[in-house]
Amino acid sequence: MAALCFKGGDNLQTTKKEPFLAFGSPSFKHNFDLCLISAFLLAAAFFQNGVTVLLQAVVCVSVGCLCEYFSFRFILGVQKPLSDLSAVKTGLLIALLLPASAPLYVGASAACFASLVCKLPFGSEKNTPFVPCAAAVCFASLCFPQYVFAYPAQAEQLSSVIFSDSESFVKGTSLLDMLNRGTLLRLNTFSVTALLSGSYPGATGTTCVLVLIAAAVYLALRRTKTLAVSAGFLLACAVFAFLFPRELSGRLTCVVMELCAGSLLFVALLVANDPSTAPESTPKMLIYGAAAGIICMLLRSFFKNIDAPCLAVMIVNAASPVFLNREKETKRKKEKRRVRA
Amino acid sequence: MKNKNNFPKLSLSLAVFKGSFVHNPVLTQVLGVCPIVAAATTLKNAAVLSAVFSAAVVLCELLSSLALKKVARNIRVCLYCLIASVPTLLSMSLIDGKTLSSLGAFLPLISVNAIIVVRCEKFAVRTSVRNSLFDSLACSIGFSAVALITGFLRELIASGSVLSLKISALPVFSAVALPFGGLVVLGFLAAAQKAVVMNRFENEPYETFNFSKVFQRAVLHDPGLGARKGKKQNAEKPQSAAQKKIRPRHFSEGETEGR
Repeated sequence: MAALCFKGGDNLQTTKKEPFLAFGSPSFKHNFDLCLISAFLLAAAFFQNGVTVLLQAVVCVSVGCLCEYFSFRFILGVQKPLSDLSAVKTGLLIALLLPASAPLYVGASAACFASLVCKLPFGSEKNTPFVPCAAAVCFASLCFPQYVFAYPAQAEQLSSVIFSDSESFVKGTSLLDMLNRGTLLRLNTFSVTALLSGSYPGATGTTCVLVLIAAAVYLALRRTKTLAVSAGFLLACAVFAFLFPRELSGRLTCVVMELCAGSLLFVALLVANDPSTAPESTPKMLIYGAAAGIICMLLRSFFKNIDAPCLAVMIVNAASPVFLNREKETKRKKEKRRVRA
Repeated sequence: MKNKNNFPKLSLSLAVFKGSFVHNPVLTQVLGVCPIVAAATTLKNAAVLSAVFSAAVVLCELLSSLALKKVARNIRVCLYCLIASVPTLLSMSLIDGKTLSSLGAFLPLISVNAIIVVRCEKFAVRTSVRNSLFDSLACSIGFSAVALITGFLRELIASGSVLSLKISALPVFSAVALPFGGLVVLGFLAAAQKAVVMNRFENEPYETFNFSKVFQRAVLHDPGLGARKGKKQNAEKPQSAAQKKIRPRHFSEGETEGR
């Protein structure tokens, strides 16, 4: 009978452990910081879009926490503490990356996906090869593009779409749509005040640029190690937009618009710099962020109906171990040897 | 128990059970994943793929065991593909155009499926016809089971229907019909199969595709691989027979060589 068993090449080995790929771990401090920033973004969005935003966040967080707790408890047999705030952070980020008009089940399914597909198979958040919320938002945008890319223009009508899938709200034109169509400054529709206060239609947490800038300052004051990733990301996007402007009204204006449009700033500050997937040294973080930024701008230039920043982060997550995370592997091996010794 | 050709005799039930479940070619060895991930988006597609694959693998293994044992390996591999292309081409003429177009290039590509080549080369040409038949049945059942389960789940989740019959009123997740959905479903199936095998068949040697090992070697340029290369280059020359024989002999105290 043993002959039936395929005695294959070197790649087939007897193993009892999961193929862990990444070895960093997002600390409680990092998760707490992101939760705090998300709370401020939610508060800003509440004034723009009403109570729907809070409901979306509550659903995302509770579904994420429940899925994580019960899946770890009953499938892995491990009692995972929710006090590390990773599930809360993921739920909040998902809610903020979706438009307020999206039905609740969109956020719930995205949170479920983040817990069951992105975290559970890898043991925990520190081992996942992808940023869970980026993967979840990409999943939602593939499954429900009609909701994820439709942004409400008026807050008053949102209450009617909470449980339905009708398109009863008034669709607004987001800043990114204007950039894609080339109608941003020609029609004189741009206002700096509206941009800073988050009056333009867009995903819940991505429109209020003022809070995002404050978040960047807060993260810098808290000496977040992986802020270099955000810097690389934004710098690469800015350089790309400066070299290849999509608007004729001036390169610098185009740079500002590109950075503020869509979820770019949000993803650069709060998603791309996840410690579990980011490299360890600062130069490598810069390269990692820059790669994500360039991919993001390329995706924006060639594909219109995708969430370019999240997809770019996922692509870099997949490719970065090739050239960046080698030191983590070496460290892990050294630690193993030490333990064995 | 061995037959007259000194091949171990396998029992059908054991061979089929272990070959299809414990050592499932798709879930444990990650062979032949491509058609399942890309084309098994509905139960119907999965059934067609399974039928064609089963015909191809049974025919190929039987003929390999019967006639290809003394053929050179390089030629043999080409012959596997040629033999497997016969049922594939026949099936293409029998299947309706809509299903054929939904399967795309993945139906004809079954003739070069990795499972067929690996099982023929590693098993069929080294054993009896009877054993080859059992092995091919086990492979067919294993592949078909995985393809059918994947097709069923993906159709149900992506469109809320099975065999075009609407059975679910829940929201549908159309992205599961994409290749990434197939990979996710396969991953969960592999995890479930591994859990069952490791709990119920503790003594069974369990082989699995160790991604981290591939990752280290192919991508991270594992120092182990470098060391092995270096070892090969700088390896000490094998000792001559004389050197091997003349070894300093260690005597205990009081012992002399003469004794």
